[in-house]
Amino acid sequence: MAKNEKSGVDSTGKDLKELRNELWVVVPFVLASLGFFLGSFSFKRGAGGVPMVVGFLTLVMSGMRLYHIIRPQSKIGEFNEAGLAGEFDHMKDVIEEETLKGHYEEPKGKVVTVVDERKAFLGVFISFLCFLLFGYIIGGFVAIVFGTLYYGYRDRLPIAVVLASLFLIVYVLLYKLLEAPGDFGLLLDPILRSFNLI
Amino acid sequence: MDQFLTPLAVLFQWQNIMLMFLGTFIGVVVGVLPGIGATQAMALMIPLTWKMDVMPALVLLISIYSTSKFGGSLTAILFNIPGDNPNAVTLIDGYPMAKNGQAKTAIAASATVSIMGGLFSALSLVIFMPVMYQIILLFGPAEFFMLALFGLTAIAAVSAKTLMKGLMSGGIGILIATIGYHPLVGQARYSFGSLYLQDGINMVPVILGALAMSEALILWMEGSSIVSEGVPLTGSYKEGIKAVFRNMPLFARSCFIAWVVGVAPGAGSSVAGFVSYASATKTCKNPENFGKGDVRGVIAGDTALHACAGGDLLPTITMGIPGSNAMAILLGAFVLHGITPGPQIVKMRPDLVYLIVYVLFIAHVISVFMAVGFSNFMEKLTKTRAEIISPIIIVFCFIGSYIMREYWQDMMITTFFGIFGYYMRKHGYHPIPLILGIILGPIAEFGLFEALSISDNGLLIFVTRIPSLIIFLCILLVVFWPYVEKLYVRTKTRMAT
Repeated sequence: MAKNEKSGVDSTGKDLKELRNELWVVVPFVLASLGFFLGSFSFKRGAGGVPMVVGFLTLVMSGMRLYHIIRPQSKIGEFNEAGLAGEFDHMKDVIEEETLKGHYEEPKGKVVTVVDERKAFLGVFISFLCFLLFGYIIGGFVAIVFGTLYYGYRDRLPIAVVLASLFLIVYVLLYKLLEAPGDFGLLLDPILRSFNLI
Repeated sequence: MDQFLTPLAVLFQWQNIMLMFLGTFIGVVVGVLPGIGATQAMALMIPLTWKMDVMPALVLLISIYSTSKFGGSLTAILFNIPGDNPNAVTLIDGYPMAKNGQAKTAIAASATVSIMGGLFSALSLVIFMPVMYQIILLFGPAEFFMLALFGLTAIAAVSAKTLMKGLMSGGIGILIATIGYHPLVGQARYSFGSLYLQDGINMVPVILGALAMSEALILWMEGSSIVSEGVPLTGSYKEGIKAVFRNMPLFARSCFIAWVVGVAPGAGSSVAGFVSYASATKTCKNPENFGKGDVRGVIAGDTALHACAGGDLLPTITMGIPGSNAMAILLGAFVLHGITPGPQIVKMRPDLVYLIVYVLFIAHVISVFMAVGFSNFMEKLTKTRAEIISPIIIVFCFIGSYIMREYWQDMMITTFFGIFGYYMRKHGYHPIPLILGIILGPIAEFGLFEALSISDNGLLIFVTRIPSLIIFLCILLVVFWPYVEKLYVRTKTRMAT
C-alpha cells in the first residue's frame, strides 16, 4: 500500500475509497452553501447578512474538503485536527485501553455493503409511502408489519405486542385523548369518506 | 420561595407523576437495549410533548435522560455488554463480581451510587445556580449572540471526528434555519414561493430524521447482536449498599471529578466514568484487586456516570451551551415550547430549573426500584432483535414529524435527513452540530441584530464588552486549540533540540 508522503492518505486502497464515498456528504454541503450564499444577495440588508457570511464560510470549508477528496495528496482540506474534544477523547481512549484490556472487546459490527444500504433505504422509503397513502393512524401498523417482514422477522408474538402498544399510543393516547389531527392518507381518506366512515 | 415550591407542587400532580414513571421506564428500557440510547429516546419523545405545557414535557425528557445510565449498568453487570457507551466502565468490575456470585451486590452498589449521584447532581445545580445568575445579569444581546456561537463551536468540537467537519455541519444547520420569514425584517428567504418553506424548516423532523431514523437505519443494516445468557442473580443487595457507605471518600472524590468533567464542554459521562475509575485505581489501597471484581470499581465508575448530570446540565440551562448530545436535544425541547435556552431561563423561569433538580433526583430513585423490580423483564429486553426495533423507531419518527404541523412534507424531510444523517455519521460528520445550528441559528441571528441595533460602534460591541470578549476568547480557544497545541509542541521540540 503506497502511503502518500504529504498527507498520509493511502492513495491506492481503502482510505481512498472511503474518501471518495465522502462525496455523498461533501457535494450536498458545497451545493447547499453555494446556493445559500448566492441567494443571500437578493435579500434586504438585515435579512441577507447571516446567510451570506455563514454561507461563505461553509462554502470555503466544504470547498477545501472537496479539493482534498479530488486531490488526496494535497494538505488543503485534510481536516485532521480533532479539536478540544480530541484531548478528552484521547484521555478517555488511553484509560479505556488500559482498564478494559482483557475485560471487554467491542463486538465487530457487520460490514455494511451497498446492497444492505439500498435495502434499508428502500425500507424507509416504502414506510414513508405507507404513511403518505394510509395516514399516520393506519400507516404505522402497515409500516411495522412491512418493516419486520421485509427483514425476515417472523416471530408473531413480539409483532402482536408491538402492534397492540402502537394502537394504545397512537389511537387511544394521541388520536382520542390528546386530540391529534385525524389523517388517513391520500389513498384511504377518499375511500373512508365515500363510505361515510369519517 | 415560590420558585422552590411551585415546581414541587406541579411535579406531584398525578399526570406529572405518571409522566415521570413513563420517562423513567423509557429511560431504563433504552439503557438496557444495546444500540439505542437516551439521545435517540429523547428525540423520539419530543413530538409527543407537543401539546404539553413546558413543565410536563421537561418531566418526561429529564426522566429519560437521567435514568438511562442505570439500565445500561444492569446489562454491563449481568451480560458484560454496556447498554450505552458510558457503561463500559461498569463492566470492568461489575461483570467479574457477577461471575463470582455477587451480581446482587454489584447491582445494589450501582443502584445506591445512582441515587446518591443523582442527589449530588441535583444539589450541585441548586448551589451553582445563584452564582450563574449573578454572572448572567451582566449579559446583553452581544453576549447572547456570542453564547449561541460558543454553544455551536463547543458541540462541533465534541461531536464530529474533526473540528472542521463539526463546524461545517453547524454552518449548514444555521443556513437551514434561515429558510422562511425573517422575524425582524419580515422578508421570506429561500421559500421559492412555497407556503411550506415560508414557514421555515421545523427542527423536529430534522432531529427525528438525523438522530433517530439514521440510528434505526444503522441498526437495520448491521442487524442484531444477540446478547448471550446472563449471569444468575446471586449475592446480597445489603452488602452492595453497605459497600458504598464504607467507601464514602471514594464516592465524594468520584462526584467531584464527574462534576468538573461534566461542566467542561466536550467531555461527557464516558470520559467522567473512565477518569474517575483511573483515579480510584491510583488512590485506593490494594489497586491490584481492580478489574477482578472489586466493588470499589463499580462505585467509582457508576458514581461518575450519574454525578456528571449536574455538570452537564449547568452550562446547558444557564448558558445554552450543551455539554453533550442529549443536552442539545433538551435545548431543542426548550425552543419548541417557546423558551429561549440559556440565560433567559435563569432570569425568567427559575421554576423550570428547580423542576429539573427535583426530577433529576426523584427519577433516579424510581429507576433503581423499577430496574431491580423488573430485572426479569429487562433480561428479556436485551434479546430484542434489531429487525423489530428499527421499524418501531422509524414509525415513531414519521408519526412525530407529521403530528407537529400536519405537513406531509415534514415526513419527507425526516426521510431525507434519515438517509443523509446516516451518510454523515458514516463519514465522521455527526448530525448533532447540524441540529444545534438549526436550534441556535435563529437565537444567534436575533442576538446579532439586536446587538448591532443598540451599538454605536458596529461589530466592535462584541469585543468592547468584557463578558462578550471573554466568550469570544473561549470560542477562539475551542476553534484554534489544535493549531495552538501543534505550535506549542513544535516550539517545545525545537527548544529541546
